[in-house]
Amino acid sequence: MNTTEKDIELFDGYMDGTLSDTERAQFEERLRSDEAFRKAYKLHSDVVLGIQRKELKAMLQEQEKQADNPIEATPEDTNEVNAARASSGGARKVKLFVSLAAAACFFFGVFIVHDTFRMANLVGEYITQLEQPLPRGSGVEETLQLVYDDLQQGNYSEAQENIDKARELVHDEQIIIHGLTKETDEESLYHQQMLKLDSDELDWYQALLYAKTHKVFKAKKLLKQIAKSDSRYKDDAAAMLR
Amino acid sequence: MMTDRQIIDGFRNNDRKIINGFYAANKGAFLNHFRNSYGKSEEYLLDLYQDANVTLWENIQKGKLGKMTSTLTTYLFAVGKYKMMANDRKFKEMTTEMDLQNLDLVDSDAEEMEEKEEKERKIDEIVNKMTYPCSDILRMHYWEKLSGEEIAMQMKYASTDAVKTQKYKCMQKLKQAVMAVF
Repeated sequence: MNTTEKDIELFDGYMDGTLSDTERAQFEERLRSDEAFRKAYKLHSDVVLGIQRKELKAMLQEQEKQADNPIEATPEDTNEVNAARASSGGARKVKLFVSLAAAACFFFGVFIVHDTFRMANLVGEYITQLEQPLPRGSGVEETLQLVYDDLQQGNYSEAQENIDKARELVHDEQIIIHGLTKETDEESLYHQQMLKLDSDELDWYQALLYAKTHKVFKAKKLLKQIAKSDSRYKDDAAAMLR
Repeated sequence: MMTDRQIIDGFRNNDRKIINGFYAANKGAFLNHFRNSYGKSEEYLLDLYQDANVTLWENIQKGKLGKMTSTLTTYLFAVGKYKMMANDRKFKEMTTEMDLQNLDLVDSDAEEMEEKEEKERKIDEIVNKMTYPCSDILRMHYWEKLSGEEIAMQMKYASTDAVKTQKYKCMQKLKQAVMAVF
């Protein structure tokens, strides 16, 4: 069958669902009764799907590329380096030790105050760039959405309450899954993985909240944990620590 | 809160944000599940995950998910498992009858699926060779779903009729290339 411009419009209209009820009924009748027409439509839809598949694959690969952006290795912890250097130096005169300790206290004191404000400012950018919690059909999502809203609106005490509530929900779901299913069955593994994603999201929100409310030590500790884990926020946490 | 129905609509309309969001949200769990359960390489798993998403998108376009009873994520995992079964004889032997029953979400004949994938691969090769202006005009029309006026404006065509004629020529060219292969 030689397809015309009009046929192509008709095929596209049927695929997009833009034909009227009568037109659609006529089209379907023709698909049933006219083999050449059916073959022409099949060829058209196969080619259209091929075009769309090409674009979809390109889009997913682009996303993979963005996710694979190499992150530089996190520098060694400064305190650990300093400790190693100190222990290799052997005995130190008490006078020298006291002087160094005083200098260190001063240095770290300034550093901590500076770091507190720097981190609180930095985290503001992360909060404004936060994406909506990702849709995946978990029961904890609703509370995660509340935490997200609280962080966006600067309601930090409510955000903390909702984080605690979401953690309880995750905990309860874990108990239910553990009690009702065999650990090895596929459904159970799947739910456990979904809960792991929820927990990762909660940890990230908690770290941002600590940082925003000037709890720098807690924030750093949690960010280090996230950076070392397989959380999808590990790269963000590593970047923030740097 | 986004429901499965909204995600399906997003896939149907090629909504970049929703497709990418769903892809990112399920990737870790999918890779972990197939890695832990079947010990496949990362490269294989990533290909499998992308293929499963493409199949999910295709089945949504074809209206196959209209009466879906499971969640979209469960469906995605089932598609992944089914694809693995079609690709891997060893895995097929490991799959129990119960697993197979759970797979009635997708076409049940693995050989038919293999044949279909081969056909798609050949069509993809032809489509990938498309050059300007066909690559642009068909992308704008079939993926971005732009109107004739919008395409005419972006590609500097004099009228929407000129867009229609060019689109027709491009489609005919592709169809002839596909017919020559099959």
